[in-house]
Amino acid sequence: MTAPRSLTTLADHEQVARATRPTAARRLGRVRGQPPSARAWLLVAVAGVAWSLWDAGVGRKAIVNPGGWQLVRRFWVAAVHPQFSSDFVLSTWHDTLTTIGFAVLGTVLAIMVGLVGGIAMSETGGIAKARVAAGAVSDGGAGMRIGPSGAYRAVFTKRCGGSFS
Amino acid sequence: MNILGRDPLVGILAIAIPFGAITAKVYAELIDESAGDTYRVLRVAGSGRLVSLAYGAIPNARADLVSYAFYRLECSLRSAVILGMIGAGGLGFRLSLSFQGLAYREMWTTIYALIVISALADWWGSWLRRAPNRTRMHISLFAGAVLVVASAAELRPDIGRLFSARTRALATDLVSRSWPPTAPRDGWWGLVHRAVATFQMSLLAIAIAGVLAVGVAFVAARRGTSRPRRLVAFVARGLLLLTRSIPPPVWALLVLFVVYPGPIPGALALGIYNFGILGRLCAEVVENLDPRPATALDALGAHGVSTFAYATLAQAGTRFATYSLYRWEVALRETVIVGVVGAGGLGRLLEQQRAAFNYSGMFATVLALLAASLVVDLISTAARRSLR
Repeated sequence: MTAPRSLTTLADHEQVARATRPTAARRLGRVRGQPPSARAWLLVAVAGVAWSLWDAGVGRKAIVNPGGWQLVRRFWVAAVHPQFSSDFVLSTWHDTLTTIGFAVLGTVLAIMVGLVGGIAMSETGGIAKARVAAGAVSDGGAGMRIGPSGAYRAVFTKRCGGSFS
Repeated sequence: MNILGRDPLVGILAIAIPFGAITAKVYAELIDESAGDTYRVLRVAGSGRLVSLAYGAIPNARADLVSYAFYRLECSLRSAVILGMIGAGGLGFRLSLSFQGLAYREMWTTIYALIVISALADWWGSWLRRAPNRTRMHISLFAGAVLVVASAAELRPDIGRLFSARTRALATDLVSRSWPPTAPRDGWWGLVHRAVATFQMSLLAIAIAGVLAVGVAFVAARRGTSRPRRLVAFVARGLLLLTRSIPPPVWALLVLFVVYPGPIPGALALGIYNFGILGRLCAEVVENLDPRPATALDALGAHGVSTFAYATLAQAGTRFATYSLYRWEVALRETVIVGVVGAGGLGRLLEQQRAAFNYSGMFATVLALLAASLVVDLISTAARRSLR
């Protein structure tokens, strides 16, 4: 049995899986010049947020409607005394079952698709190998079991990718 | 829904199709990772690929496969609520009905029910992840099986409908009416403009969520030694649970009370909701940090602030950024569901076109959304690569 995983490790797996979509795989294969640094990205992010705020009219026109605060206050005050009449609690109970039902059946179907698809997609020669190598590259090889060729590719792309464009 | 009618099957498929695809990718990776020596020995001994996987790989990966399934269940619960708001029934539907009648007390009963089931799913998943031993696995699988049977009995989805002649005819009709895609009333440039607004909405949302989440993550992490610190952490975790239990359309409607329509209310609503999700992921990053650098700096007599900056933040910063980028991709798709209640962008257009049965227009809008999410994915992938 493998070691227990935290939620974040599971989320990492999802990221690795997502990062290896065809577009991402193509990007990994075609390395042009050094990637911009973290600081450059931070600048880009700040500029992007400023542009979005300006476009949305922040500081240029009225955004807040002061008349609405009364309604918001009423909503939060209601949190202290929710509706606990027996009819409503009963119908809420039924609604809860419905919601859980959707979630459970949806998940089960997703897991079945996932198992069949996962087995079909794993270990299928070239695709699987490329995927594992790309995963190791995108996540620093966090606990991944990679074959010699995968490791070679990971190191190669990481070390030399920048200078061999 | 237009093809299958109002059957629970629609809601189930709406959850299962997107989640099935991502689960398949994650499972393929988990199986590959655990297909070690046992698998190879079985293969060399001449057993088939499926048999070798069944005996040599899947048993190793079982704990992870089950953990991931429970993680998906938590996500499915949130999706089921949102689907309910669109009309699939359940708590989401009740919530939107109460909101339309401004019945806040009823809304809160529903919200408390939502909080309880999210907390239960959360707790179940982490109980299993903490110690994935045989007993806990068996209890969980048994309880899961009971839930599946009970859910099927409660919803009674009509699987036959999926293959009926009427379904086929309606599907063909829908496809023919969607093609070719047509521009909205304000033309193709209008569509581009809305796509840009959607992009901006998601960017602002994730900026809000990221800043708040990083701030709260350190407080919410289960690291406290003193009683007051543990209490504060408990309150912070409660806040995160509340913000992610209330679905984004409700946040959007609340924000629309005080903010005029446009991209800002959508960004605020998605920012608050994603703060709950991102805050939880970041808190777990903080909990899993290697304590040695901080201990070493402390022992060397470093100031508390420097210890925090060079030991804690230095380790956690990259992970925080990675998760924020990952949630950004999700937030772009979520702009649709806040757009439905009038928060602007492509979502609002989609809702108008849906109400007018304008399928070819909807198709064009979906294509624009696809293009916007492709742009976000490309930026996010590039940023993640340079953060490695």
